[in-house]
Amino acid sequence: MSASSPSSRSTGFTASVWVARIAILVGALVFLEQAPGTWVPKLFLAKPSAVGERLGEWMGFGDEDPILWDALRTTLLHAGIGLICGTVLALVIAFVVWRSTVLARSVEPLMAVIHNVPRITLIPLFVFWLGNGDAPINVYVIGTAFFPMFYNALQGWRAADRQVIDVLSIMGARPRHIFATYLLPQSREFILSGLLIAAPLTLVAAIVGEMLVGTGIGGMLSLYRVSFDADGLYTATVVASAVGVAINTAVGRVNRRHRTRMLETGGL
Amino acid sequence: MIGPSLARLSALPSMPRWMQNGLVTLAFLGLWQLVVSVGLQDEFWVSSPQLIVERLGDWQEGGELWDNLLPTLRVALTGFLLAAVAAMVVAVALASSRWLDEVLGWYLDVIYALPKPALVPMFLFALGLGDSPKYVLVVLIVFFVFYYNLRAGLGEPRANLRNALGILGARRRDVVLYLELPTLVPYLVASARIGAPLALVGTVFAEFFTATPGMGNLIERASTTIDATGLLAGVAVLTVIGALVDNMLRRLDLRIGRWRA
Repeated sequence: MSASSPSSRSTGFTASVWVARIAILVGALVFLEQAPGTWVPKLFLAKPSAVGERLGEWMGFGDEDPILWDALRTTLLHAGIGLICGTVLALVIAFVVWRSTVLARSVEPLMAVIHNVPRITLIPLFVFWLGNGDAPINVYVIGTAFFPMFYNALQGWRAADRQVIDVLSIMGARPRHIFATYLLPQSREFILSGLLIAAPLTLVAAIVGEMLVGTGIGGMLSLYRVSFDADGLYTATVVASAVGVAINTAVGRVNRRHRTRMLETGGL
Repeated sequence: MIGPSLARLSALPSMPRWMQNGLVTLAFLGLWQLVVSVGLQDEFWVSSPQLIVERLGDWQEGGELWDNLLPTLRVALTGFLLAAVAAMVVAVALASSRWLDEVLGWYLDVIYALPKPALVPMFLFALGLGDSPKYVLVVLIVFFVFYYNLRAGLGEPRANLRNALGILGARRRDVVLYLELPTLVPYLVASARIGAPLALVGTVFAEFFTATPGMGNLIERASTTIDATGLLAGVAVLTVIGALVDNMLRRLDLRIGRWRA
């Protein structure tokens, strides 16, 4: 790879790359602007200009209600609450499994069995049990955040040095002392890695739950689809995509800085 | 997958993992049945294993099971294979040209970051309520699993081996056949293990909204008629299929991985 190392890469190469990237973007936008009504029926696609206009309205640059901020807050709250609660739950259960050999025998296979159930199919059941509100979304998002955190934390704690733990307990440390002073710092990398995997998944889970329940950005997607409002639907899709790209970029940046052992799980 | 490979050495040394999982499942189902039989919970809300088995029997006789399961499996498998082939082509193309990689790889990274299920309403809107939105979602999800794994595989340093083969007089074709392709096989299997369940779940999710037969359609119909038994029977079928597929691919993984030490 010596011939193409970053230092020897010519500025001409970089320039041509950027020209091509921008050309593709501009080409796509021009196509989308021209296509509806000429090549594609008007109903199926929205023009970028119409999407931009609608986005401006939602952000409050017009006479309409700025509905974007409420929807964004709802979605991010669903994702955030799920991530936090799922993480705490996962750490508690992983600690129980890690500590006790008796419980681990039944809890760990139970987790494996639950992990095998396609969670997405359970959302209608959660709605049926908990009503058409935030509760089924929260349950689904917590379930989504749980498994990456659980398995990463468990893996980290099992990589811990048994001898250190034995010495600490001989010196009179209680389990919670061992946990706070050795186990948690030692497994930092694994837990961070679990968080980085879980964070984008919780956003997707929140939107999916909202699509079926009818709140937040997911609810907007469902609403504009069934009301055949192409501009609204494509604008909501752009918003959801922007949030997804933002979260993934942040995750990528943290991952590059801390070089976690992030696994490509390729979630939905 | 991260999880299942972590079986603790000290836990139940004599019992294989599938047996542990089976026992736990049986205990769970038994407890569920007991709770309903004793009357602690109403069958209307939580259904029961017995009712679900009966429902599955009805579906088998009435034909609903196969009429819905086969289309789902067909879409999932076709989409999965399409995505795998597309990812192979794109990964090889981008790995062989730095310029293409810088231009298109950049866009692929952005597309990967999109929350794909959130795009489903758009697909439904543009493509209708038939099978095509399902295919688009499945291909979009599975493509990236294969793409990133194959890029990792193609990036593996193999210059020494390639030079050695060259000295031994290997032609380009031999290098591809005996070096390039075999090194990719473990990456393909790893992608398949991650991608297969995602293909199934992706199909079922899209089927919640489409009008053509499928397990997602069956589950969605049960949920709108407040039929917990029907819903859970559908979930049970998908869980079993998912476990079977994962088991098959894990065996394949073990068999293929053996020579790699």
